[in-house]
Amino acid sequence: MNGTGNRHGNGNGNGSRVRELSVLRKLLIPEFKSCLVCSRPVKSKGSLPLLCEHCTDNVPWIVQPRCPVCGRAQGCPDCLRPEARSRAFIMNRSAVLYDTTMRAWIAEYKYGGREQFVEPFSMMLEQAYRQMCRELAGDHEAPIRHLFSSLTRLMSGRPQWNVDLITWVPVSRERLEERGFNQAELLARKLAKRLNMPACEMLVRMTHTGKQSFKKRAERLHNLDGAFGLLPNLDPRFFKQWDFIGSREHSEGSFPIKILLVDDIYTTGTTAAVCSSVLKRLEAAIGRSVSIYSLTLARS
Amino acid sequence: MKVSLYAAGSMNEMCLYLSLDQRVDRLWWGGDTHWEKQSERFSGTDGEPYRGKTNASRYAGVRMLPISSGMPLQWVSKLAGMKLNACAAEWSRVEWERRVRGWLGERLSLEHAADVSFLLGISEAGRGDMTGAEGTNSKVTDNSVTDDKMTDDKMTDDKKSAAKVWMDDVVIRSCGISVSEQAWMQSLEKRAERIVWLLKGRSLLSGELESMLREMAPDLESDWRAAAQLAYLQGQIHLQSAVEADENSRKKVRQESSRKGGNSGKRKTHRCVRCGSAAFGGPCASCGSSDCARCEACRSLGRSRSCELLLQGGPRPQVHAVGSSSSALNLDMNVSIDAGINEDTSEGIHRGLRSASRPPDLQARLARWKLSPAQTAAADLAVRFLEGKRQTFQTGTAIKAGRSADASGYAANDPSSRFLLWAVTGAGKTEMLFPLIESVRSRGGQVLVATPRRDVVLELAPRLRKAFPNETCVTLYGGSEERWRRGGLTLATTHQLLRFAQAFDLVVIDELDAFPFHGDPMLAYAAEICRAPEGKTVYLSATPPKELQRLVRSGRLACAKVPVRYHRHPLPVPELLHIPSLNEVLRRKKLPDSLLRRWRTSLNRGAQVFIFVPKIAFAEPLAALLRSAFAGVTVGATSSKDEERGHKVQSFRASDVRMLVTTTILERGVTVPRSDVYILEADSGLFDEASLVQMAGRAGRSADDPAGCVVFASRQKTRAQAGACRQIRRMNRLAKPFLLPQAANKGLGFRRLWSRGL
Repeated sequence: MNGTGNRHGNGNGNGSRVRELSVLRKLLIPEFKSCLVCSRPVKSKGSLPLLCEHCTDNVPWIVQPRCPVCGRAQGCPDCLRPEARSRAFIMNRSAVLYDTTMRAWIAEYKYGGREQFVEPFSMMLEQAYRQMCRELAGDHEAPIRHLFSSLTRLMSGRPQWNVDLITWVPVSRERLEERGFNQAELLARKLAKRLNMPACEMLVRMTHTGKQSFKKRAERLHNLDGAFGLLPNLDPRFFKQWDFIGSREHSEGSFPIKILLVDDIYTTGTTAAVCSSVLKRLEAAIGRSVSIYSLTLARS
Repeated sequence: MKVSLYAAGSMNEMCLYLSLDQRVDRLWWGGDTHWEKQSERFSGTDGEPYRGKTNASRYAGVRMLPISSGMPLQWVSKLAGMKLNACAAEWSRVEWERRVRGWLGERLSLEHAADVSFLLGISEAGRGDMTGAEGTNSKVTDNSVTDDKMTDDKMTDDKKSAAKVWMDDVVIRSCGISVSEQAWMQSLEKRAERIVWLLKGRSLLSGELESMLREMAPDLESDWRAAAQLAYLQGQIHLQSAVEADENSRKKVRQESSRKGGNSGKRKTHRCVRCGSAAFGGPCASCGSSDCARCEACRSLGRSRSCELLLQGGPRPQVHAVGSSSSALNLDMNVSIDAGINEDTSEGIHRGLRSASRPPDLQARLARWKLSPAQTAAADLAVRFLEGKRQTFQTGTAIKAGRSADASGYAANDPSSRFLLWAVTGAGKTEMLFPLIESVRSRGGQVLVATPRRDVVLELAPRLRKAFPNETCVTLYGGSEERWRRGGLTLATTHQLLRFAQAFDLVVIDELDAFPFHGDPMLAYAAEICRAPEGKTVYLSATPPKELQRLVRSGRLACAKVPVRYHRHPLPVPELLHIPSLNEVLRRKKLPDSLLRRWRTSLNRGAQVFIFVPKIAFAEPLAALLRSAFAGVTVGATSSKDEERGHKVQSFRASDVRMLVTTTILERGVTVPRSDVYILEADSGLFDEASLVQMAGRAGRSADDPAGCVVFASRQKTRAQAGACRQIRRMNRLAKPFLLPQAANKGLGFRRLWSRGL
């Protein structure tokens, strides 16, 4: 029957056979995943996980951000306002437009509790992040050079421009209890995992201010004053590790710690600005300049 | 969410309890003469462990011992109700923590070891919080998210005295209760009563309860936890976590992992209590556990999570079989059911028709509805079934191994409470329901008519309202206005049944074999759970699933057949036609002559032409081809993807569109007078016997054109086609005694079986 199995003794043979069978089974019965949106079967080689081809086609990618500050795909009057200059973050980039499709998906994710959406969403964020890196590394050269540089990047394993740390916009305790998860945290953690980068909690929401999405522009702008704070027991020693990394990469000495702030939707940029100004307070604590980059899933 | 856990009991025995609002528990166990009376009143029902005892023994040395101030609900739900020795009162905190860890065992193994102690909340439920007078009350208000400021203020007078007792962690029933507290308790009692009433027959998540209260009783919404807690202590409602760990599948995972030696991958190890589906566990910020499961299946009706509270009320008042004449009826019923089961003879129906044994009042009752003879005979059987006695059984009996988890599976488990009304398409099923509804309603029972689709609910509602003008008829569907209303007669889509538990004495499932009810174990489960313990289920179908047919044949399931349409003409028997495959037809852009000839005849006689194709992709191209072939004839095409479907069907019904190409989406529920049905590519695997019968049933539905024609056009004859023809012919044979004299000879003979049309 099974010569090898018998020779190796019964238990051992059984174990290996089971393993063989499970491999065989995986080959014969591939795992079918259905699309989160339309529940059609998903091809394993799709560009976004857990979304089928048709739904992937509906994603309103922001291919070319027009506004250099907030990453909007159209011209952006907001960033021309005088108060916008004093924002604490350097730039925002968003993966997609906040259109009806994305609105529905994000609502499913946040309010409907479909956390699996984090898979495609974090993939979108990753693409936006890579684009942001390319942009900041100054990759506007000829395609040949581009190819070359991406080759070198591949060899070195990382793009030349990179953030040091990923964090996210916190939600209040009440909201967390109601929802069961922080949508931005999930995105950030997943993104960090994909990029193999550290993610850590740095901010805390002090007051429960109600949903930004129910408010008018003017209300939004000042609603968040004092709503966020630094995590109380943040250990400054935690940031010491960047001294080593940093001094290896920047031999000249002074360098900022680059923090990526992740959120789901960017509308007026108030949340990002307030969070960034709070993060700026770190500078005093760790004695190093901090620069904050905002990355959001959708730009409305 | 997190809830608190405490132990309470007498000198002899202690029991663990879940608490949404410890203020209530403290008063309940702290003792109050008023509530003793309350518990006396409910001492008849069981469920609450202290109910059975006399007041004296119940309160002899009653003590309440807080164990945890906040623990994930799913753990508390598992522990609550556990009986302990009285010596538990002597346990220290360390001991309690050790025990609780032991009881929860496996569940804790999935948590991060460092978090467990924090999640259990046992160590901090103790000393630190309890020592000060301020500490006691602030802790309690922390727990109750909706804290009632008013009551809190009222209670401040008494804080000190209560706190003294709490210092020892043990509340012994001796403390006096202030006047303000008594007032609060009295109002709470009234509120609890109302919540109990509102929850009767319901199965609701806390979020759903809140939205129900917002609509039905806004004054209760703010402090419902306290009222619900009192109702729970009284044993009137059931509190539990909405998703529970499924020990069986856990065992399986354990076995697998031990065999494979390690990681066995992600497995569904939880089960949703509301819908019965399996669910994955995952981290949750709401309760802090890393194995908190969310149910994906019933997501559309609110999020069901492990740490979400599910409130289930008691069953609604029950209806009993007709008392005096029940034995006679019962005997009689067995006879007629046996006969009814006798497949092809239709003798049972005859016997019913001859009505030798039919009690006169039933006859009179049936006469009121002006049914056709065949309808009367079937309704007669069904009403007797409903009014007959039967043995008790458990609701929602678990499916035995090897049985499919759908309606047929449940029916096989417990056939004696079910009845199949097998009525051909166009038999007038709705009218036959009227006497059944009347029978149950006249005895004060609750009736539910569930159908898989929303448009059927909307269509049925006015008819039922007209038939029962004195009843409150509630229609439930996604986005319905009457979401939380209740009435004697409920008309709902099958998904809405998830919000009920043990509520209905008669559950009618319309279109048993239709999507999405058929093949969805969740909906079958819901249909079981929503039925009262003594309730009965009536299935309605023109094409019951094979397993049910088998049960009927073997004589285990009561059944009445209505083989004839209301206009008493036989069903049109399909004609089989040989044509090339639709792909080829569309590629060559040439329709087969045999079909063209028939279509021309149909159009000439003024009939509407229904054309069914198996795939959406065929619809438009075929319609284009038809438009070129029949100039001047309006041809429409529609499918499930069509936004204007309703509009197109309307214009087809109004003969503005003469030919309509469609998919199986229109196989049911569409009545178009004077129509001929053509099913192209009838050999497609997407058309099974049931859907072929249903589509064929679109023809000849009106009395003035009873003889519409049905054509199955395909490349080859399949089992499904043959089966559909056989089923239709068999029904026509059964229908013989009911047919109009001039129609009696039609529909039985074999039409041309295989006419080669090429």
